[in-house]
Amino acid sequence: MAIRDIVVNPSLLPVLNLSAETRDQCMQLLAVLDPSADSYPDSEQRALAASKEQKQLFALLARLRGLNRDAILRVRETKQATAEARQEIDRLHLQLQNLYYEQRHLTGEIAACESYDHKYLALPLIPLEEFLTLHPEHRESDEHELMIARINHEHAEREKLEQARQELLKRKQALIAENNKRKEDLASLDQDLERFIDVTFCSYCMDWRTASPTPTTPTLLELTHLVLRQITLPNSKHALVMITKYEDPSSSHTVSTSPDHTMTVSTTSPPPPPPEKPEAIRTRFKVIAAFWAVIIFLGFPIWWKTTSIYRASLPIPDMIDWADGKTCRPVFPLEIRVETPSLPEAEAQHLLRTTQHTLDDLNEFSAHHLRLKLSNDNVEEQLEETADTALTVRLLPQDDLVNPKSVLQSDTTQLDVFYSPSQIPPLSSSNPPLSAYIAGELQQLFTEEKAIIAQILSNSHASSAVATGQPSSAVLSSVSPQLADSIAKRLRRSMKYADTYHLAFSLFTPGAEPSSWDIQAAVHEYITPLLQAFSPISNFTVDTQVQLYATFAPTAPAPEYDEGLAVWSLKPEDLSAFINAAEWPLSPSIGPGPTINFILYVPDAAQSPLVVKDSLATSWVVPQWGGVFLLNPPNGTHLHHLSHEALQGAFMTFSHQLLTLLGAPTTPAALPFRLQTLTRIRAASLLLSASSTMGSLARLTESLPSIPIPATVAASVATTLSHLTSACEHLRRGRFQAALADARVAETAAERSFFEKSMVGQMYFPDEHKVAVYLPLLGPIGVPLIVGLLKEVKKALAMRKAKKAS
Amino acid sequence: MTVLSLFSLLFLAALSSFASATSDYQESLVLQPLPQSALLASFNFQGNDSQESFDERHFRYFPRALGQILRHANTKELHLRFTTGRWDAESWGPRPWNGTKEGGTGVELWAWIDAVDDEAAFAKWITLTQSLSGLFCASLNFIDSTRTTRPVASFEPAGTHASSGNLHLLHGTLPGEVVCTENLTPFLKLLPCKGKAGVASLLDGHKLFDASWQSMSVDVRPICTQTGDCVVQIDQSVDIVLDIDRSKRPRENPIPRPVPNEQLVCDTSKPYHSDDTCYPLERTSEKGWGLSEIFGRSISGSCPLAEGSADGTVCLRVPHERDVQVPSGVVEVQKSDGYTRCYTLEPSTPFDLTIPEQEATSQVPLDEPVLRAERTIVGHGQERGGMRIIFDNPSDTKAVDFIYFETLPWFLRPYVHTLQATITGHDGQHHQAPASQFIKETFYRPAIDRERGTQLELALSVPAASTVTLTYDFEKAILRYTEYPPDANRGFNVAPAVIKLGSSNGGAASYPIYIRTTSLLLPLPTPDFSMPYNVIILTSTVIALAFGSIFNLLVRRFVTAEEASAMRAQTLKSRLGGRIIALRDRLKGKTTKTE
Repeated sequence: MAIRDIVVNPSLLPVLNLSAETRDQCMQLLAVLDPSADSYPDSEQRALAASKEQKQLFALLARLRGLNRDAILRVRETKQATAEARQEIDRLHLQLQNLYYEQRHLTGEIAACESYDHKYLALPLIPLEEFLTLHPEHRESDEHELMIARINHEHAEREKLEQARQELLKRKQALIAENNKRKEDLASLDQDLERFIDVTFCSYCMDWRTASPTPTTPTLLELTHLVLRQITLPNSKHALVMITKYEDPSSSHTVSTSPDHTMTVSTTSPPPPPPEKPEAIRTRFKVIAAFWAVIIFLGFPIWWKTTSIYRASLPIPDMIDWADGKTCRPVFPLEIRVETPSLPEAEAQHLLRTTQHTLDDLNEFSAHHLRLKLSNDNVEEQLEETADTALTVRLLPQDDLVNPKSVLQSDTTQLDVFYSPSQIPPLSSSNPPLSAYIAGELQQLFTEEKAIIAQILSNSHASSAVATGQPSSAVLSSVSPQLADSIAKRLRRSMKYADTYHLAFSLFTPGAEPSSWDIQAAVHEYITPLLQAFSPISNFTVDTQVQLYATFAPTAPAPEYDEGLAVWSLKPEDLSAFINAAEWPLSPSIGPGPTINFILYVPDAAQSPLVVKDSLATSWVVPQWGGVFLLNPPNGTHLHHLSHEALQGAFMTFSHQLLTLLGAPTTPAALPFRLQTLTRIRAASLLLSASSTMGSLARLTESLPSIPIPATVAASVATTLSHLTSACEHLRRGRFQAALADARVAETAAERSFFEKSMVGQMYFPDEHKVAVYLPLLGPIGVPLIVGLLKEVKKALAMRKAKKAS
Repeated sequence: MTVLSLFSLLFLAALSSFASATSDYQESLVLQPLPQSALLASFNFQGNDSQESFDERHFRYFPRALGQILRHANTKELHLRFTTGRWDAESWGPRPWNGTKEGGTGVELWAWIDAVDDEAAFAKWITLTQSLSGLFCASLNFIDSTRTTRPVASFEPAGTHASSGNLHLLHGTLPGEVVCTENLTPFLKLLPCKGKAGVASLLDGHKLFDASWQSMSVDVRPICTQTGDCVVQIDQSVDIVLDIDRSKRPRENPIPRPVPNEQLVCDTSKPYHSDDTCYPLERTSEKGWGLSEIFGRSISGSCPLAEGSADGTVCLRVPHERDVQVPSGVVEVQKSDGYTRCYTLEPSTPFDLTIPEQEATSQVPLDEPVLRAERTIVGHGQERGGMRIIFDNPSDTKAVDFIYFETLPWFLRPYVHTLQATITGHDGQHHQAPASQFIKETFYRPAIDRERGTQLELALSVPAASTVTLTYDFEKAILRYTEYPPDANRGFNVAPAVIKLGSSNGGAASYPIYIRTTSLLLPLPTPDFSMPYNVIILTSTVIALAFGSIFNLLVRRFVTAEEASAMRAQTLKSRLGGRIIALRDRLKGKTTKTE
């Protein structure tokens, strides 16, 4: 089929034509380009023709393209138009459908309305004929109006009937209420009537018995009146009730004005029980009294006896006086014997007097004073006990001396004073230089002792210094601050006084060597003489042990190596940590009394020599505990055995440390003299410590009223006080050994009484606990007893009032 | 015929050889593998100080802490034992040291005290127990009069005492005491080398108290030679039986793990043997072990104080053909008995000993114990019970004579008349026999409530190849409320019985053999501890009720019912009631008005 048959649209015809033209042009071009057809002789011409043809072809093609574009645009327009048309059609279709729905709905509604069953059709109305006879005016009206009229009529009729019914109901209610009221009134009337009758009769007989009719009479009359009214007016019950109600308060008021007729109060409304017989009341009183008597005379004493604690009576004021230092003012009159073998009596006496005078002038501490005595004038002292001689002064003439010279014997308490005979003062001189010299020497000897005693006294009497008038602070200020400081330090370091001290000498070494020492000989040589000297003051036991592999405590800082001095050094502040309390068996000795430990520490060869830093000391005192000595073995040698010689230095140190720990003064050098001083110091401190223990015990017993005080405590306190008194007396007389012995007994007894075991008994069952346990018993028994008692007391009070009133 | 083992002889020889030395210190360790992969380690430390220096309180080898206590308590001879666990005589054979250095479970203490009379001796005894309690951190202070006995025949002084007239033997036990590290530490502190050198450096609380059985002992006795030189000897020993497998477990991983499948040795001949089923074969080789493996550390050299005996310090009892590895340079001495070898330690050179795993061709023979004893509580109920003691004489030829000693707490009241004996031959035939047939002598000291316990010592003889069973009944006392311990329902410990086999029995040995039974647990009737309060409250209520009714009867007035109701009108209650009725009326009136 030819294309012209298909394409009939006129607008497409130019396209068709043009495309045919273009094809022709293409054919022409092909013909030109065809190499087989030699229409053109040379190629140039052919190319020219070809380009010409080509140009024409391009023009045609351009036109064809334009037409193509037009065609496409037209197609688009057509499509647009088609779409719009279709939309219009859709809209119209929808409208149509809606109309269909509406129609169907309306049809349904109409059907429903037509088939509706109304109420009025079922209403029970009066028949039409009757209605018409009643309302003839509706005879002409149509059926609809007739029906309305009928319904309205029915409504009116019904309302009328309902109103009538309500009225009737109300009437019925009122009637029922009235009925009830009447019934109640009737019942109460019956009761009232009964009571009236009872009261009337009973009060009558009562009045008759008590024979005091006057106050009751009006009441009685009134009541009778009431009864009569009640009887006479049986029809008006209501009125009667009203009257009785109004009468009630007035009658009770009248009665309450007369309290001795309590029974009549009850008479107004209820019938009373018969009154109690007086013997019944009395019996009840007796019963309650008996119960209370048992409680008071048996229960409370037993309770008191079983729960009280035994407290022996203590002389509390005396004890406190002792503690305050009011009873005893310790004084230390030191007797100093003066031996003047080469002097005549008179001159000796004179020298003595002047020296004593100078001494008294020098002394500022009244508690501690020196008394000089010539050794040969003790005739009158045979009678009483002689005082201990603190010091013996021997005056020895020596020719070639310019100044007097004194020497303190190191093994006895003797001071040798050498003088040239020319220095003997003439009897006339008042202040000879020799006496001044002797006095100065003596004063100097006793300076430290004085300072120590002043320190002790001031420590214990810090609070009561004013009361006792001790000028101890003055003494303290007079001594040099250095000395006072060192004394205070030494007092802190020294052990508390004890009857027995245990000395434990231990050899410690971190390795295995040395494992033995000549301890027996060392103790025998260095320690035993000292202990013998101390034996009047305290007893001693000596233990020794060897401990190997004793290393430092892990917490203790290790010693440091000092390059410059080639020594290992321990810091002074770490010395206290040096002793390994956990690992080293330094347990205190068994038995009473403290243990003083002396440790000989042989450092490891790798760590020796070991010294204390800065001071380079190898020994030190641990206050109130003991002493340590570092024994550094000689260079590079292994000590297998510590010989007697090797121990010499250590044990010399230990003996010094022991003296320090026991509180002996440092000066002067003579040991017997120091021991005498120690005796006095110990006596003073024991006296004061026992006194203060007494004070503490007194305060304790006063502040804790619940602790028991057994009789043994009272006995110990008595022992303490008596021994304290005698110790004080001995002190005053200068017998210091005896004073120390007494003070020791006093201290022991005081400690025993203060640390009495049974005084720390504990209350295992506190009072609250007991109450909680016994409340089930005490509660139910106590409550009726107390209530009964209260009732009886009330009754008794009422009776007394009544008696007073009558 | 009972033959004492060479093992025991070794100990005894060691014991007697030390007696002659004056002031010295010796220590030794004997290791012996036991069946069932157990290892017995016996440590012994012996120190002597001369009597003279002891009296002057110069202590060198003797610890000062203990010396002071002994002096303070006038104690001449002291024996203290701390024991835990049970010696399995069935598999481990006779006890080390013939039982002379072990105690019953818990703590056992006996001492000879020099005192003028019994009271003074007891006072000193109390001092001793209190002080030792502090020293050893044990509850020894609980040994009071009820736990103290004075055995007559069971103990003999081991030391030489000049005058035995004033010596009093006192014996106390604490079966409930748990022995642990806190007792070991003071024990080690008593040693001169303090567990830092010598064999004592092996002693570690973790391993020691992980043992199947362990016993620590302290013995102090004076020994005098013929020449009159006297020494005070302190003999401390620690015997432990360790489970090798258990001890070899590392401390950081102590939980036992199953053997991996590859390492299981299975019996492939079994018909059910497969990849997931295994019948384990018994090991033919002995397990390997080493000192550092078992004790967790090695011996850190010898204690320089111990003058090593010629035998060496550490002895091992395995057959000679067994391979033992020790550090080079250590001298080994093999004994002629074929089983013992000893090593001498060098100062400050660590010593370790290893036995590699190897085929065990022979074992050290273990002897049959001379006597087996077992003691149990039988019966049921809260009121009564019975005690049964079984003595088994394994010997086929020889009768065994011994002394049986038991202390019973006072709240266990035995009926000695019910003491009966049954003899069973090894053929299994029972027959009842009068107890007197076996009991040669009886020492009986009955209990006094709250003052002392029962003491029963019997001299018995068990015929050859037979088992004698002794039974007696007892009654359980009811304790006072405050006497019950906090763990009352756990039961009360009854101390083990002590059996002393006479020295005549052993022939060569002059030392007796001791056997101790296990301690027993006695359940006592325990009350409900809230009882006293319940009783107080109940009785209080009853008394209050009775009192209330009596008091009311006496005090109340009696009237008729009508009168009572009339009276009631006057009371507060009736008045209140009237008020309430009035109020109600008013309310009702109001409501009617509103209607």
